[in-house]
Amino acid sequence: MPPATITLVPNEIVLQIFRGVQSVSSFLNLSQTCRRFYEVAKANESIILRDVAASSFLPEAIRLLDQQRFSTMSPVELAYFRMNCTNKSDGNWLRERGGLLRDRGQYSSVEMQLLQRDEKAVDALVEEACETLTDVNRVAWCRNRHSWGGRYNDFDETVASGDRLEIKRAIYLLHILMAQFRLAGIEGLVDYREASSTDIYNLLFTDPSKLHWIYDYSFAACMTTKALFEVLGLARYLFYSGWVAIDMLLCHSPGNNSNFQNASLKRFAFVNLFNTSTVDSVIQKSRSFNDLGGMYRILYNEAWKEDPESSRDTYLKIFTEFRNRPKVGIPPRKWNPRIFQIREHQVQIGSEGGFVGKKLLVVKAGGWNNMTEMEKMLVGDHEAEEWMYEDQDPDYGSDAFSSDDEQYLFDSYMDELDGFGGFGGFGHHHRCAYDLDYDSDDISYW
Amino acid sequence: MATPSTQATVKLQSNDNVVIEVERAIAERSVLIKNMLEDCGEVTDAIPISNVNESILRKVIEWCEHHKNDPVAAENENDDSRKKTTDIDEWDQKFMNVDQEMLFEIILAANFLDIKPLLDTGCKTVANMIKGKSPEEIRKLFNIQNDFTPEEEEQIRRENEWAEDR
Repeated sequence: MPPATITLVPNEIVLQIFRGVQSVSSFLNLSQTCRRFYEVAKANESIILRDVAASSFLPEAIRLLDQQRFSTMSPVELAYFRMNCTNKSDGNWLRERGGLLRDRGQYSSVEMQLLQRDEKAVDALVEEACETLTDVNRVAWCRNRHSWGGRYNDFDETVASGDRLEIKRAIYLLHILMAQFRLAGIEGLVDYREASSTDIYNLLFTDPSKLHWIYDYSFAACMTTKALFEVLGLARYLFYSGWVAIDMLLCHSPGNNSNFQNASLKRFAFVNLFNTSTVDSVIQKSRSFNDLGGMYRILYNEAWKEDPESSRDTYLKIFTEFRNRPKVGIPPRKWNPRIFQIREHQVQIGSEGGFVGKKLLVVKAGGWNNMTEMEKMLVGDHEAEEWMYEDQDPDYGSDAFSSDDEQYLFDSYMDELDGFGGFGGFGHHHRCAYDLDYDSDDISYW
Repeated sequence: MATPSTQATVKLQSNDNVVIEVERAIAERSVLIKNMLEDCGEVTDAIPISNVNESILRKVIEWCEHHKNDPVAAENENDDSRKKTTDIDEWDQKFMNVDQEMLFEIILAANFLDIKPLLDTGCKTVANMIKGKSPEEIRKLFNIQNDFTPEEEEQIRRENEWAEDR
């Protein structure tokens, strides 16, 4: 019997070896060694690349890819999403390749390239967020040591790898949230379904203001409290990035010139986590914290802080417990019927596909007018956030500061980052993983 | 179906006619043997393992012995969940630290005996050996004959251009 070698193993085992590789390069290099391996690789390309993708990318990255399938959104929705991504040129890149015509679970070089391109863009945002986080840490460190000037540059602590991963996941989640826009109408047309795909596509590039969008909050409603606030926590570290998605983390008035109008995750959090009319009285009886607004602020400002001085976990625990209480939270639907409603919307699936009815969780017409006094107060407190777009970096020169300068510098930087001051100091970061409370395909509470 | 047997050990006979007695629970890591025992009930004769020689059979038994308490994957569990774990544990890494001939013999034996976790570990070990190597280096490592024509090689190179900056 000849000695066993890789060339003598049957094709089914060659396939198993291919499925064990952990990178695209290993897959391609092995497939290029001989004709038989090439044929096995070609015949099973989709299943092998799916395994390679699962071992090389985060689950959130795979989910984002699945959001961009033509079986999930129409070409015009995909184009709208790509235009708002950090890598805007990918709209054309996808167009040249005929989009993603395949269903979920099917992979080719196009899917792998998109995963890589998305990850590159996400990593750039992670870098930026980490740099800001380090800056915030540096300011807190200097303040604790009562020393500025030369000592400012002595701080060399970088963001821990665990935090970096959580930030990356949160950025992916925000991308997924961005992908929840549905085309709702075209100005001048009673029924937008009368327009051809090409006409709509052309409008997107020539007169985008004529296209009206509706935002589906279903994905947001499935997120755990922790995941929601981790995404919201991105705003203060990425507001210099120029990434339009940061709009979704703010508290704009609906209908203003914001890119995303009704799609505000912060508004969603204010009205959708609790029955504010009852939680208010519970809070007043409680002595463990001062007010709901303060709790919200702590949670999204300290999203990546977990040190002995942090109160984040305490508040998160209280929030989660409140959210699950029958009279205080909004179970079992996890959305507020005063402001939101489930509406069937006709969604075009595929490049030339017909329209199918899909249930979306959307803001009712005039829904924001139904807010309670407390919700109005929370929203009102957070509407003036233009500071986030002011293009001014804090100036920490190497000159020594007087104690007054020091306090002023610290306060102004913290105020700028926090919006309302107070919760900017960071210590050491170490985080545990979170789980999202959603199923892969369906929304469990429909 | 035969009455379930209570026998504690079974005998396995390698293709070079060596009989090895092994605990039934360990032997049943092999789905092939497990099914056979379930179908036949009490088996007193040695079960011939026709494709596996003594040294490989002992090696496979060693692996089964170490993993005898591992949870057995449910039959309806598709191989997707198995695929997602890419790491090989430390003991398995040492176990698989053998020459290539033995490595592929173990893989073939695991395939024949239907021991999926062992097959998986073997294939992942091979996949890890490929990591960071060019096609030419892989050919050299595994003694693979390049049977592409220059034209075919050029065509494949073009097909894979998308991943050049990988």
